[in-house]
Amino acid sequence: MPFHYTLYGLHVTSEMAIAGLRPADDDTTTPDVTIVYGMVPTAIADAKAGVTYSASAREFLLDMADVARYHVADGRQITIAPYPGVPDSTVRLFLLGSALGALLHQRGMLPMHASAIALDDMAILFAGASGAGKSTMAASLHQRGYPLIADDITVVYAGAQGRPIAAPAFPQMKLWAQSLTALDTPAEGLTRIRPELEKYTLPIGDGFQAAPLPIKKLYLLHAHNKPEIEIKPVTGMAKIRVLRTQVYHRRVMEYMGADSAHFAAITALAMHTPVAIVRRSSDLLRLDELIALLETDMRA
Amino acid sequence: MNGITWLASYPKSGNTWMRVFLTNYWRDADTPADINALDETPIASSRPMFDEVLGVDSTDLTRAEIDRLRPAVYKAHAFDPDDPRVEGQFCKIHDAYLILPDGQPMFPAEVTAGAIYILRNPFDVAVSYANHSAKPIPWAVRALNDPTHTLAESRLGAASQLHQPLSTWSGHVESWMSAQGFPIHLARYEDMIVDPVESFRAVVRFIGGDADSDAGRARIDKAIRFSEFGELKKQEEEKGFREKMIKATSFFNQGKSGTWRDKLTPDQIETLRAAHAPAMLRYGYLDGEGNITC
Repeated sequence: MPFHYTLYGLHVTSEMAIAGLRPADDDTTTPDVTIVYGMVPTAIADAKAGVTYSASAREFLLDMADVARYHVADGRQITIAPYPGVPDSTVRLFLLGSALGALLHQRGMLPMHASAIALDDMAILFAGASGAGKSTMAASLHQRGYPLIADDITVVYAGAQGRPIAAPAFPQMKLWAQSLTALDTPAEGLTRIRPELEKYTLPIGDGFQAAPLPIKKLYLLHAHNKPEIEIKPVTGMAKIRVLRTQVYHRRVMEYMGADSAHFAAITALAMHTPVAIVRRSSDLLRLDELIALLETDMRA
Repeated sequence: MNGITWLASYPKSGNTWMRVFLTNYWRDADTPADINALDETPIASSRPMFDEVLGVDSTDLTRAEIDRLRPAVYKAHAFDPDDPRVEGQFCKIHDAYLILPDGQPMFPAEVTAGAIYILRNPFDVAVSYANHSAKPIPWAVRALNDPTHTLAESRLGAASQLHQPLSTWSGHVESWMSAQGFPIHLARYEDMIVDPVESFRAVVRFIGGDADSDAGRARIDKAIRFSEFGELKKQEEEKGFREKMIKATSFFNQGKSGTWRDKLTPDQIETLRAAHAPAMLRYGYLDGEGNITC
């Protein structure tokens, strides 16, 4: 009995339960993606190799030592071979990270390294490097009543009239202990993403945005060493350059030769979406002030 | 030179001064380099660089996994055809020269062209490190003597850099100076202060530059002038310095040697001297009778 899920608008079937994903709205349609346990090849043809992975136009192979090996093919199938004794939650972590990212690239769906929330039926994206504060911003706004669209990977596509649309992920976030503290959310009862890390899975019960929304604005989060908070618009040619740097696992995309497939979505973002760089100190001491500034700015 | 040249030091030992000198030397321009544009000498522990090369987010990895993957990341990075840097690959680095549990070094010799090790006496380092970290001096003294001391240590969140084990002050210098398989040039901060011309000529020779012709010497003299302490301080006062810690008053403080004599207590001096006597003797900070010479 396979499990059926919906994420990023795709109908996914899986032979194992994947905690945190949203059940499929309709499990009678032909699945877009199948996830199975099985034999994973040791190498793929015509691939460019990175440190943990190799990638060709149609295949992606990820070897997370002591966790699992993942084979992603044709944007349709993910095969997982876990190493013995690994917790399901750890196998799932890289499935919903690098493997899912590769699958989206294979399908020509643009994964931005961004979290997203909904404001008046429009999507607001928070992009940035790992550790830049994407999830903390989204979680903080979610606490204030803004529905969550996606955490960490937001899929963007060009909709009617070339307007950029954000596709919803699944109702779950990953947050470090210090972010939970800043959000007054106790870690008790939450599951660590891995037994060794003070980083937790936070399920989003109410307030998940399940339908795609047009994108209103994208913020790129940066840390700086001043107490002041700066919000500066990015315009002109710099915008395309900045947006490209925020594509999820960009080097994997380049190894796949998937750059051109994302042209329409990147162009849609660049043409229609205001982009601003937010610089603030990396500590979370002034989170409330930052959120208040962002709330004003994103409504403008 | 093929491969990475590490600009290695314990924190607050003159690494930034070395990077500013090299940047000015390479630019060979009519005006001083911008201290906020030292792009030719990025830090080896950059989390975004690591994630980009790895294709997996390091914020989902354990420390042991990150440590184990770092050598492969530097191997991939060293041969990255997209690296835009024009002067070869120079990387600032504060990690000790670590040997992993499998016996392999974290910074592989086969992709290393060489290392410039910048050394400063532990007394001045303690004073400057306390300043930099906005912590009291006893904290810095403990840090220099703590074999487990680690930069970007945060276990409750993700810092913008990977965690960097430093070892003790002695452990740091000994780890780098005993590294095998590539040439290492030792540059003492105190020598850079007393005789910048000879110190930086030696650095230029080490990286294969011309330190002896009239033109070569003029270029080095100019780069030294453009990286003088007054220039760095002036730029920081005018525009700030992005590598300053948020709580620190300034990054460039004194630019001198020996300020520890007014800042450390006799107890602190003795604690550091006792912990680091062999290395201090070896690198000329103690004489044969155990007297402090810096």
